[in-house]
Amino acid sequence: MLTIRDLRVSVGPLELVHIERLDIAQGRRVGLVGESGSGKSITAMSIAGLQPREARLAGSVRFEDRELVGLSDAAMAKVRGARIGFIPQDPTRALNPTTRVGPQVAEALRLNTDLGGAAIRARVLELFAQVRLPEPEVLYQRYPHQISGGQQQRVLIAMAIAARPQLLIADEPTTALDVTVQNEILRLILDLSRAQRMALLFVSHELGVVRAVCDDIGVIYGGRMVELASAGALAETPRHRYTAALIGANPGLPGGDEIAAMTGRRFAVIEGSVPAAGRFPAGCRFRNRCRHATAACAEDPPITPQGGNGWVKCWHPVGTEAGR
Amino acid sequence: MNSRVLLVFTREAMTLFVSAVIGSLVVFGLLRLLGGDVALMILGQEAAPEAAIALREELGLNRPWHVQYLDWMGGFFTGNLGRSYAGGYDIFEQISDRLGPTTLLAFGSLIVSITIALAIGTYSALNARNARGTAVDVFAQLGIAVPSFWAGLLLVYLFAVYLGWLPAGGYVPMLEDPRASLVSLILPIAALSLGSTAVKTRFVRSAMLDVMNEDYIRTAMAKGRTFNAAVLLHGLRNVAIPVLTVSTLQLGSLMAGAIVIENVFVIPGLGRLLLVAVQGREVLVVQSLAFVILMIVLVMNFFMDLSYGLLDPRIADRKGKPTHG
Repeated sequence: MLTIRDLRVSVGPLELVHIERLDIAQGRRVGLVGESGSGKSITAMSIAGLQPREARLAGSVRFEDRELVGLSDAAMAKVRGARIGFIPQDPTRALNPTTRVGPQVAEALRLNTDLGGAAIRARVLELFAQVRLPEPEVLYQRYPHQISGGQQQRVLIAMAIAARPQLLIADEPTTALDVTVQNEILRLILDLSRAQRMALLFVSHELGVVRAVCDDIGVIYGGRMVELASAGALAETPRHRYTAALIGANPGLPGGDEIAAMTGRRFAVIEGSVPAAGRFPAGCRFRNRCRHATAACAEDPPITPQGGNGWVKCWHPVGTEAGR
Repeated sequence: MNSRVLLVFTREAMTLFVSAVIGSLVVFGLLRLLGGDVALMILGQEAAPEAAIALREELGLNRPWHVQYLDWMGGFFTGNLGRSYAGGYDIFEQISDRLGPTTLLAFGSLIVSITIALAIGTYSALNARNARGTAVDVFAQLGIAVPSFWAGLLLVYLFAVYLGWLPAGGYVPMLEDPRASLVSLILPIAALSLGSTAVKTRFVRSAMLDVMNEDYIRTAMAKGRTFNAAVLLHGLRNVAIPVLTVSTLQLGSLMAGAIVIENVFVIPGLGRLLLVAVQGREVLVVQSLAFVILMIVLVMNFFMDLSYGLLDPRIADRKGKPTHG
């Protein structure tokens, strides 16, 4: 349903993201994991045409047999809301502060459905109940600052699913929320995607969260996707050296303990820090922090297919002999 | 909804009342504290003592100050502010006759400049990265740099003298002939609004550029709006809030400008009267005029704060009772 090939997002001469391939089948839930600044959010936004205005897209994003890269803003606007729903990162900033929340959701219905007048209001209340908001009638009349962050995110989710889109993009939907609320929101997104058979692209920096929600996981580092695998395979048998290091840094995960034990630490630390955009080494972008890097890594690694539809982009994947 | 409107209205009305009382005390007190003897101010320092005594008696300046103050304030309600010493006219009558033109000029300029600034500033922000936006920006810069009386004279030359489309000066009362009245106000309002509109335009532009980066604009786009529609529908109201703040700050200079413009365009407003009264050292006329002009500013301020509170729902909650449940 969604097929990405060589999607490049750049600002001026600086290429922020280059996603060589990413496919999402109907009803499938795919996660994108990476550190902050890895380009995962900008990838998610670019698919929906919500990238920053100064950013330029190249390559191909095919969605429901339609090429999205190169579409005008007006043409893209018809896809957004109607076919692709978007849940933002920070609900406390994502609602218009001067407008009541009910009408803000109603706007999505007015734009993307044939409903009118009272039917729209009724549908908003229905959506509010569906996203488990208490007292929909009361909430309809509230201003954003009068409700909690968790409630704001529920309102935004109601907005995103209002027109029953085929693809839901969630850009770190729980990062800005209290820990106690995070799980409820995750549960809600998961349930909705199952019940409505919506495909989900779920972006997060927390591997554990993505694993709980998604079928497949893509790992992104320095604007490049380095590995794609099913959620189970990724945690148990990571192939890319960065993925392995990332799991080692998450002791709670199955496999994490094992790797931590191997490195002799309670949990592993990835040496060095992420370079600034444009300061990555040529070839494999992770090689200056990788303990297994060789001279070969100065060349761009090939994409090697793995089990299922998974793949890894590494010269020396875990399980092969590495130079050092 | 209605409780919020009521809350904002009550609060702003109280602010208006308190400001008016304090303002009147300041106007009343300043003339007496700083000016010294009111009778000598009117007659001149070399006046004969007998004349001064007589005038004090006549104007009631011998009474205790609070009696004088209450008498003066009462005059605004009973329509008796006394007579001009030099001109002999009834002060209240003159002020109420001249209130109309000045109010029309000031309110007209305020409404015109806010509307135009919102339109041009938004256009400029939406086109910030191309030639059209830059052109608008350059004109706004020029508008700020050009003094309004000079722009006024140029406008008169172009539209009144050269093209002959509009009258060069004078004023037709609204009730007499509404159309002619509006036509006579076009040039004065344009001249008065030019500078303040340019300042507001620059402000709208930068506020709009900030708003464009707000997350709620992206949310509106995610719903299915184009960027431009999202900015116009969701940004404009949010931009109007800071623009109102700037407009409130400009009220003082707006009234000062109105006084100059009335004299340039020969409009029989309060500004003309003020100029004549100051020249004639008519202290009591100046005192009443100062209070009336102060009230115009306060009332405009009241309307601004009112719309401010209605545009931004967070304000009613912040100052009033929290509605958090």
